[in-house]
Amino acid sequence: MKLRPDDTIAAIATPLGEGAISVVRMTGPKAIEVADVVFRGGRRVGEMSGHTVRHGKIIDPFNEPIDDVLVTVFREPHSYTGENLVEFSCHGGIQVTRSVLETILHSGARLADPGEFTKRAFLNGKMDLSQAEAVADLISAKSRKAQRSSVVQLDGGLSKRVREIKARLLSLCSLLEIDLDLSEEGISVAPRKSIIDELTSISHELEKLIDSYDFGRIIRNGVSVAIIGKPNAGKSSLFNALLHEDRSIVSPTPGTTRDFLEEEIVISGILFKLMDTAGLREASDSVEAEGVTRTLREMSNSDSVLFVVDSTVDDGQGNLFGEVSKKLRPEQRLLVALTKCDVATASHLGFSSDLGVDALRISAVTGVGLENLRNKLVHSILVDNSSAKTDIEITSARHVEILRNTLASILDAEASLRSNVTYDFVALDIRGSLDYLAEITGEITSDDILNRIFSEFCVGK
Amino acid sequence: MKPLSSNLHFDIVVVGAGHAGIEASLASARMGCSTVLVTMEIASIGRMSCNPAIGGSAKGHLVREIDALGGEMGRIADATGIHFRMLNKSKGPAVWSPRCQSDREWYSREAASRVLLQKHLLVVEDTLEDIGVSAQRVQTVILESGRTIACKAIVVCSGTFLNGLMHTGMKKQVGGRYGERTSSRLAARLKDIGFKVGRLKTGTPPRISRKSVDFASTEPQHADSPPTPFSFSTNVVSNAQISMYLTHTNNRTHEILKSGFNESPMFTGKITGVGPRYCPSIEDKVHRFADKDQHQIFLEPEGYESEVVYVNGFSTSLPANIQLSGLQAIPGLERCVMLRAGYAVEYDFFPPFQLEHTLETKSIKGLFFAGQINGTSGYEEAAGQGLVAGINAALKTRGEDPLVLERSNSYIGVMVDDLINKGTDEPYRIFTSRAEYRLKLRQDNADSRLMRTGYKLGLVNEQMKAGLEQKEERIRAIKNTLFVWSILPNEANPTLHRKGLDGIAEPLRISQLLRRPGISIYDIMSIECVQSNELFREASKELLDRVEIEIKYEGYLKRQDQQIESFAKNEALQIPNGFNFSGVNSLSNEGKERLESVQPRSIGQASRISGVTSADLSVLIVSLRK
Repeated sequence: MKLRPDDTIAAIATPLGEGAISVVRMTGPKAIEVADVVFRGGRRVGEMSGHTVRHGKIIDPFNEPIDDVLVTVFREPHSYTGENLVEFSCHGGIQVTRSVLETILHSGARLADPGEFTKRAFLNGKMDLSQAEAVADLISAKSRKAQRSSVVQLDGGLSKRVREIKARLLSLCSLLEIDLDLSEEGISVAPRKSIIDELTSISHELEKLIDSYDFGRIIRNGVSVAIIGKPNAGKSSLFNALLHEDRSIVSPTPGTTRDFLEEEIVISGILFKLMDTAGLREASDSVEAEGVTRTLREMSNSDSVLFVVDSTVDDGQGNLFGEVSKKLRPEQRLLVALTKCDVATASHLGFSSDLGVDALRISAVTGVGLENLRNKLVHSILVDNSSAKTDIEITSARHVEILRNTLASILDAEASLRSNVTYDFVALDIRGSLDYLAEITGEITSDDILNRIFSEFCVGK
Repeated sequence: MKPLSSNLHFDIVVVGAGHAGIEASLASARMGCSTVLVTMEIASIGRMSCNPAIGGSAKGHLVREIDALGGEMGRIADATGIHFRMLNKSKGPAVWSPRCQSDREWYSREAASRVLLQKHLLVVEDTLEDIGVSAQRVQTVILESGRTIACKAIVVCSGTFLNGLMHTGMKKQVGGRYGERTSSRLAARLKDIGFKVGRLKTGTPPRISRKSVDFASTEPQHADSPPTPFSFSTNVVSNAQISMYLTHTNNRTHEILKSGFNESPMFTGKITGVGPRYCPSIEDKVHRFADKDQHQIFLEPEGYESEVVYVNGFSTSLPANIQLSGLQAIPGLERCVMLRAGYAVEYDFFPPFQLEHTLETKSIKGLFFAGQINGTSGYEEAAGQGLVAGINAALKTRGEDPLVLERSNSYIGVMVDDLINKGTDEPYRIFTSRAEYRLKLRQDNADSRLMRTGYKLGLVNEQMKAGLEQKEERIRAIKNTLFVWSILPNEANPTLHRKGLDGIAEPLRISQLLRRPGISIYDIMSIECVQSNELFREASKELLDRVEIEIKYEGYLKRQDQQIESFAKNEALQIPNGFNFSGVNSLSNEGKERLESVQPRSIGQASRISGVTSADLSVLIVSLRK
């Protein structure tokens, strides 16, 4: 179990929602230094006096502006935490606020632990001593909540992949340790080349995972949404209704094949690429097979899947839904729309409870439910769809940070190996990567490594 | 030796004269405390019950540390070693580990003479019967002979002798070591006092006759030339070095051993104690790693003149006739004569979470445990603990602050901290992987890490300390020179090209040249203008190795320094004695339970207890500020 040192921390301080302003708060010894990396205004944050506000822009690592903000500086000890503290009031909506936070985390701060601002305030004597117990309660309650939501989020494909990476790193660690502690002179159980290859493969795996959670990528490239369903389920009507509902159609581009159409729309500042696909049948004949294959390919390449169900017929769409949801990757979002609600009978509308997911009732004809669908599309990108509310928001950003740190250590290890550094030094980096990963998967101790060695290798004279 | 009268007062009583007892008694006597060492048999002082070897991977680090603190093990090994090797030379500097085979009888004689000649130390041949305790503090020891000794502290180093039970096949014999007795009264008494007890197992291989071995069909393993001594006070090892011999088991051996599995005390459940996984018996290796068709066997003569050969790698408790047939299927051993069968021994130990960092028991003041009684295995692990317990018993007697070695300054600190926080459910052996700060805890710098502490305690003399200071001054001077001296292409390139290395295009600081992959300090030394510099010409290999490590790997070492700094910060956040963890409502239930049972003294220590979360630690920090 690691103790956090007194470094610089940041977090989104306002509740996640569609409020007009959201605040990113940062505190710690380097708060002002980091603020100057990300903020461009009339003067440097370092030159501002305490309790003053300035207007400016937050820029990303490529010098591209992210948002117009107001920056407020509080100098120690006159701040909530008693340390230097900087607040950015962001105006560009919640997804932009996330980008601001990400940029700050890239620039030298780390994500705050639950309750950490309050804890620092207490430890720096900014609170009444009688509040200690309340602070302790708050920290433990927030941590429990964060832990719970982290379990929720990890209870799926992501968890499996992180655990696989952990197992592979642990295995590498064991090999290095056998080589260092137990193997005979001149006999290596861990050839350098194979360690490098394994590290390269693990780092690719990590990069993929990080990419799937990279909101910067989503903001740059847009979110691809595949509209999937049986023929005549109402996909095209819904597709058109979404396009016509929205005033901000960017560039209608016809699909490159006759099997699907792609259109781009912007909702709440986020670019969505909608794809209308060929209908899926449970048992396709050979003529339709190619269309179905393409649909499946589009589906697997998309960020989100909008599954469309015709609420007026009950013809085994549940089976198809089951198949589709099995094919999704853990990071893909899934929404279900029940179309033709204006003419559906009550019994068929009960369909959504059979699916085990929340389905949205829509009528492309009357426009009922479209606004709701648009909100859900945005929401599903901002918040993992396996849970609701802010906890997941925190934990997924935390996971990305952890995975990035893990990757950095692995790349260090790789570089050391390539320059022929001996394994005792290389082990420092690989152990470092496991220490980072431990924040998701739980502590890895030297006993874990020894246990692995003894269970898999014949060691000892 | 003076006869003991009936009314005796001593500062410290040390029970057991194995590797822990030797260090404990010598340390306390050298620190000026009147000390009694109780042993069942004077002739068995410093006996090497198993392999007559000192050091090895990570264990060599322990011996260097014991030496730097003023302990005896390294010096005895240097005096009696007949086959020295620095292990892991092809690996990184953090895992270079000195090891030697000693002449078994000589080691024991040498250890005994140092103990017997030590001022303030009295050795008695007797057995501990009882411990007098009042007010949770030791008062007296009562010996089998009926003598009672009043004392301020007791260090118990009873090895495998607490309820020892030896197994060879289905045959069982009570005893702590071949041909020796056991001590059941002491075990019962300690249980009475309230200590929790566990049971462990260890084993030893058969010994065979040297004359009966055909060494020609084995592969000789030569000693290093010149040998590297353990002790910072030993200049040269002058003993002639002998070879060891390597051979292998084969499928025929394995089949023979398997035929005895139905009479194996291990596989039939006769042995309930847990054995060490890192030192498995040969039957365990054959059983668990069935796909391996051979295992290494080292034949180690136990001395210059000794007729006994130790069969390293063949630890076993199978029936004696199976052991012999199995051995005779091994190349070189076809006609071997078995002098003594291998056996397993089960013994009681007291799970070490019952101890403080000083190795004093939490419940009885003045009672210290060291060595196998704490669940460890190995001479070096025992000696390290003996030294810690002896020093702290003496400090306590003198009313001074205890000595606590840290995870960040020594393997001894790592070991003690592991033992008291995590306990152990198999015989505990030190590994380099157990040390978080392995890159800083090297065998080459044990003196810089610990010798000043030994000096302050009065265990290291003025001359040794002066030697250390001189050495460090030279290292500084050489490093400074390498950091400022820019070498020119025409000076460096001829040598670099001759070595097949890339030349330099512009003047370069030598420290930077040294950081290049593939360039060693010896490559630098072979550059003419460096070679002719007095500072370098006179530098020993020891100094140059140290300089190379500190320059070449400066980046890694700095990172470890940062880790150590943050470690130290958390260690400094003290938790008051007797703190009521259960009274902190916001702690998780598991956290409360674990914290109550270990009673950590610092936030750092609390962070190493399994089951304590980072939220628990935050809560604890906040609660401590109340």
